[in-house]
Formats: sequence, structure tokens, C-alpha cells
Amino acid sequence: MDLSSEKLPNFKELNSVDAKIYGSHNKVVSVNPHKCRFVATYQDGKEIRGNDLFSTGWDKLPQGLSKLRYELSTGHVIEIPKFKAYLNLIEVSFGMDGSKIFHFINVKCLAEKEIVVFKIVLRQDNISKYKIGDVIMFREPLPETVHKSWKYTS
Amino acid sequence: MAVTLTTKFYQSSLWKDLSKIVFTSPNMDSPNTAGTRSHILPGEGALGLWYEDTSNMYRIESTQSLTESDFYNYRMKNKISVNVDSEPSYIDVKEVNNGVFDTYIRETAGVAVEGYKDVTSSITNIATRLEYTPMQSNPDEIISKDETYVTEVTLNDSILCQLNYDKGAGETGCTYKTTVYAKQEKLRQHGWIAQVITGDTSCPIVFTFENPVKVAYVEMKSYAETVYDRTAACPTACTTTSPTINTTTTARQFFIGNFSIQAANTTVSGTTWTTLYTGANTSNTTKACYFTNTVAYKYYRLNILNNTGVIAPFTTTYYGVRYLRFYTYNYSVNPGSSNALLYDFSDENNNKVIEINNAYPVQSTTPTTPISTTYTDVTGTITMSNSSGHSYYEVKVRGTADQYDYYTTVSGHATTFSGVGTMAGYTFTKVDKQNILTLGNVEYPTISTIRATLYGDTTSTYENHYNVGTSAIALDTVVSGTVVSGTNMYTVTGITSREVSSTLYAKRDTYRLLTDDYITGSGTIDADTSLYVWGYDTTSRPLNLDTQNSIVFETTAGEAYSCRLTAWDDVTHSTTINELIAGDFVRISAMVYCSKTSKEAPSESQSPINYIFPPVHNKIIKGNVVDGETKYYYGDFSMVYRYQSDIYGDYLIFKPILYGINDSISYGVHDFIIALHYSYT
Repeated sequence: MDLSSEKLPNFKELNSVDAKIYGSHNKVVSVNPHKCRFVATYQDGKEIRGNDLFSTGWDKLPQGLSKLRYELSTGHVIEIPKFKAYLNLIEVSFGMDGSKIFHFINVKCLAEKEIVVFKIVLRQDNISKYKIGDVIMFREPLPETVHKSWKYTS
Repeated sequence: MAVTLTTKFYQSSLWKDLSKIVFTSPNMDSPNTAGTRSHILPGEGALGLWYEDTSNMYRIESTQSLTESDFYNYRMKNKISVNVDSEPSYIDVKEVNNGVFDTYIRETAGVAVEGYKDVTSSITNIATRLEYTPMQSNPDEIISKDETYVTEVTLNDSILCQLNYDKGAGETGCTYKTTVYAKQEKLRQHGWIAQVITGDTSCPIVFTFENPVKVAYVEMKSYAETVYDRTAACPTACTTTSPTINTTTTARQFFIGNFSIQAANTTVSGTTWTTLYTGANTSNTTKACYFTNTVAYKYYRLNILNNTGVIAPFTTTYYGVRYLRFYTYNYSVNPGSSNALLYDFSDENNNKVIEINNAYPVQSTTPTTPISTTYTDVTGTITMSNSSGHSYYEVKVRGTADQYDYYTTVSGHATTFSGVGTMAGYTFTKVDKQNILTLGNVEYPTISTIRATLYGDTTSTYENHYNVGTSAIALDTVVSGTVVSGTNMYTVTGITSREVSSTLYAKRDTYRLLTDDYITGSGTIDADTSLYVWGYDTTSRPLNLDTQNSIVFETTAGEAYSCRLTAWDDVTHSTTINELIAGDFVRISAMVYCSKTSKEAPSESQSPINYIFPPVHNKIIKGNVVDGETKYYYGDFSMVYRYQSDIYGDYLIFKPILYGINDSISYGVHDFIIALHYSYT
């Protein structure tokens, strides 16, 4: 079983906007992961759009971007303020039955003395107070080493 | 990076894609057509573990088995910076973590065992109270090495016996020549003993934990000792035969009789202890105590009540207990037989730990050789048995300060008397802090002044928390004096120099870890970096978590971050409202590692394994629940694709377990989902 497979057996009523996931005690509404992406803007005005949540294309992104935003299938657009660098992380869970849930896009932003994390919510349900498109912010200490997937701004 | 992970299981000589995990009746042949079920009722019959691909279901275990903790986990710090790229053959470390490591080192390096704690002397009043407060953050560290004995010399003295000897020319004599050691030696197991006091038989042993823990299982064993009474008595008459040393042994076993296990979160006066378990030991040498405990307590008390009902082989004059082990809630039901106790993974998420492989701790080979000399004023007497003609001379010297040397044997090897001559025939003893030199019967006249020089030397073993080694001790005493008017006694004064030359090996902070010939790391490990030694023993600590009975995640490209394995109720991966999950029946054993060949089993002892994240055994998993310091999931760790030619992985393997399914579970089909959470770019 390939965990990066685009098969989503637990997604019902999948359309271009969202999908439903029915459980015994909870009903989840999820973004359509095929229709969510980052958009990086460069100083010359060029925009590079990411692929989807399965294969984001982040690692192929050139350095030197000037702006970063996220576009969700639900129409939400989340602008990320300018920092020294960004790291795009998709948080997902994969069940042994093949089920998959996209939880958050965690955008880590390198500041002078800390990491600022923008946690973009990708699903809403009957339990969590957060809705799709909500952004949860928190801070983390600077890492000991900088990961090679960080993208620096110009 | 983006990441590609696969999950498979191994059956019929092939790696197969996992479709479903099934717990069902074992009474079918494997493989069987997927979809076939043979149900059993809760609490009736063993549950088998099956993995299912798209075509068949494969019986992995006809009866589920737990796994056991089997790895040592010793922590220390790197002593000096090490360039791993240069493939160093060893790493010097310091600040090893605990006594468990010490035990391991001692067993390896042949250093004497230390750690026996006889607290009998702590009993100061009629109300017996025996306390031991190890202050452990991890209850697993409360451990006595099973079947390891320590030797304690409780009496060590010597006596002189007369021996007949031949002076030549048909003349014989008799003198004190043979030193016989009267010695009592006890061979004891680690543990605790306390004398049973008539009229007040209660005896609580209090254990203090650094943080509150939920103890739900305690095991213990009886305590044994063998006493060697190596006494001897001198023959009544002068003889040429040396006395025989008695080798009589006395063996005794102790245990506790009626007892309770109690807990509290304070020990101030008037504390009400909550009784968790009440039991008794009568003739068995082991005791296992399971009990229900849903509260985390800081203090636990083994409350010994009395010895009523205790029968052979136990002696009832003392309480004795050893191998006392506490298990937390995670291991509340039938934990591993002996090994989970060696774990302490409180700060395991340190990637540098994995860089060093197959290290062997040995004792430092570079000793220090300090020499120290001290001087002590001494006074004494020299006495002649006669005032003229043949005379015995006896020299007695005592330090003016109440000094006491710790060496156990001493012998004089030369002496001179100025004005008298070099003497032959002597004995040199040390009695009551006094050096006594007894000289032979010699024919010299009495003189008014005398000067004596005494030499003595000995060796001593030396050990404390920091060093172990030997010391050579040389004593040199020079005294002189004048005869006391009207007597045959000289009063002498002088000085004793005591030179100690030691060869000391540093303990604990100077261990050398051999890195074998296989290092997977790169870069520099700075000084003070935390390191681990993890060991695996195929004989005494068998591993039963393997690729053959587990589900294997393999990283085939990229990197996955913040990985955790847990259980959810359904496909929403958001609730734990589930009879099996809520009842703590859902468990896993898991580990993350990389290996030298593809999908190598972690039990493979011929090829090194690097552990990415510490293994867990029979761990309860339950969503993202965190209760105090207990995480009900396995994580968090990162998995990286290893692109080196001889390193494969990373692998996450886990074995699902449904444990304790009894008739309290409702009838029907129960579903839950084990899920891997992870992040990628």
C-alpha cells in the first residue's frame, strides 16, 4: 500500500469544493486535496503555483520568492506575511484500511529569533471548533539545523 | 521533502500489501480466502492475529502474544569531540546515567559489585520502619540484578598460634609464628532485610517516585544469604601443625509474610495510605501482585504486617525481599518477564543517539598514580624480658593521634636496633591500632640507650564512587629512647611515615565505548552530546517483535516528519469513542529503525541495526490522548529515506494487539483504525 496514493476511499460526495467523511460518531467535511495549493510570487512578478496536497511541488520551488499564499478548494485564500524563509508541511493521517485525512497545512516561517507557524485548517467536523480556512498561529524555537526544504525570500 | 511510504507484511516468502488487520478465531488454516471469518464470543477462546491482502488472509499468530522489552538503554555524555567521518574506534564517555549501567559495566569489566544496602542498622526504635527512597523518575530503574550476589565480610580478625621450630643442633623452640584468620563472610543477594521485632511485627518499606505514577503491578522474590563462618582456634600446645580453618556454611532464606501494597501522595504524619493490594507469601519464593489502580501516586509502600503462616524454606526471624519491581499502568497486565525495567526513554528524541552503533563499554585503561605521604608522631615502649643475658625484646608503638589505617594485613620485614644489632626472628602484628614487633630471644647486654627502626608494608584495594584500584602502603617508623631507671623498659618516641602509592582507574566518568567497525553517522559529535548504548541479548532477553509478525512501513523516498502511530474509532480519524479503544484493549508493539540490508528484522544480530526511535511493547494507543507524562500514541519521530549503499530504511514496524478481551466486551464485530500521522513537504 502506497501512502502517497491519491485514492481516498473514505471521501464521499467529493466535488471540486469539498468532500464528506462519515464516521460512527462524527462527520467530517474536508477540502478537496486535489484543488488546494500554494502560490509563490517572485519579484519579477512571476507566480509559481503548487500542484495539490498529494504532491505539492514545494521542493522544486526556486529560492528567492517574495510572497506566499495558499488557495484552498473552498475558495479560502491565506496570505502568509513575509519572513526570511518558509517551510511547507502537509499534516496527514493514513489508516491501515486505506483511509486518509488531511488535517492541516503547517507553514513554518523563519523569523529573527523564532519560528512562527501558520496552521491552516483543512477539515471541520462536529467536534473541533476550527473550520476550514481557519489559521492557528503559534511560535517555536529556532531549530538547531535548517532543513534543506526551507525556501528563502528575496 | 516529499515522502513516499509503503506498508506491507511478509508471508509465504513474499511481501504483501496490507488490506486489513483481523482479530478472529485461530481455528482456520492459513492462508484463507479474505472475507472468511470464524467468530468467537468475547472471553471464549484465544484470539488469533491475521493480516489480510486483497486475496487472502494470513494467520500471523494463532494466539496473540505480547512482546517483551529487550534492550538495554544506557545514557551518557560524549567526553570529547569526536569526528565520526574519521571512523573512530572508540568514544570516551562520562556521566553515565544510573546504577543499571554501573552493573553492566562491572559485569563486563570485572569490577566488584556494589550496591547492596543493608538498612538493618536504620532501625532505631521498637516501631520497625525500614525506608528506601530511590527517588527515581522512572520506576523501571528500581531494579535489583536477579541472582547476583555480593560478598560482605562481617568479621575479619587474626590470631597468632604457637609453632614448634627447629633451631638446629638438636635444639627446638616455640614461638608465635602462624597467623590464622578468623573470618565471617556472607554471600548475599541484593535486597532488603530487617529483623522481625517481637511484639511489633509491622515493617513498611516506602518508595518515593519523583513524579506520581500509576503502579498497577508489583513483583518480588524471596531473599537468600549464605554465611561462611571461617573461624579457627589455636592448638592448646605448641605444635608443628597449622590450625584448620572452619568452613561451615549456613544458608537462610527470608521473605515477607502477610503484606499490603499501599499508596499515597504525601507521607506527612497522619497520612492515610490507600490499600491497593493485600496478599501473603507462605512458601513460594516469588510473588506477583496485580491490582487495579487508576490514580497516579508519588509514594508507594510495601507494608509488611507479620510472618504468620510463613513456612519452610523461610526463616521468620527476618523479613527479606528482593527483585522488587514496579510496573506502571502501561504494563499492568502480564508485562514482560524481566526486561521492561531497563527502559528510560524520557528524552529519547535525539537523533544523534542513532549515530553510534554497537558500542561496548569497558573500563578506562589509563590509570592515575597518585602518591601521598603522611607523617604521624608515635610513642611506645621497648621491653626486655630479662635485664641481662638472653632476652626477648618487644617493641610497641602507637600513634599519638588516634589514627586507624584501613589496610587489612601488615607484616614487618626488617628491623634494626642500634646498639643491639640487626635482629632476626620477629613477628609484626597490628592489634588495637598498635603496631607490635616481637623480637626473638637474643644474647645482648642491656644498654642505656636504644634506637629502633620498623618497616611495614601492605597493599589495599580501593574503591569509591569515582575510582577503583589498588594502593601500596609503606610504613616506616623510627623511635628511640632511654631505659627507664630501675626497670627493663625503654620509653621511646619517634615518627611514622606512611607512603601510599595508588593505581586508580576512574569509574563512571571514564568509560570507553568501542564502536566496532560499523558507524553510520557523519559529522562531529560535540562534547557533552547525549549518547546511548542499546543492547540486545538473544538468549536472556528474546525479541518477539519482528518483520515476520509485524506490519512494515518503509520509506522509499523523501522524509516524513512528526510521525506518530495511534488508534481511532473510524475513518474520520477524530474520535476514540470505541469500546475497544476506551477500554485500553488496543495496543501495539513498535519500533523505528534502519538496517544494513533491505527490510532486515530488528532481531538480526549479525548485522547492525540503528534505532531511530525507541521500541515500545504492548503500549496502549488511544488517539492523541496525553495523560500526565504518558502519551497514548507511539511517536513523535521522523522517517528518512536512506540513500547510502549499505543502509536501508527507515522502517517502522508494529504489531497490533488486542489484549484482555473478556466477557465484559459486548457481542458483535468491533472495528477501529490504526493510523500513521505524518507531515511532508
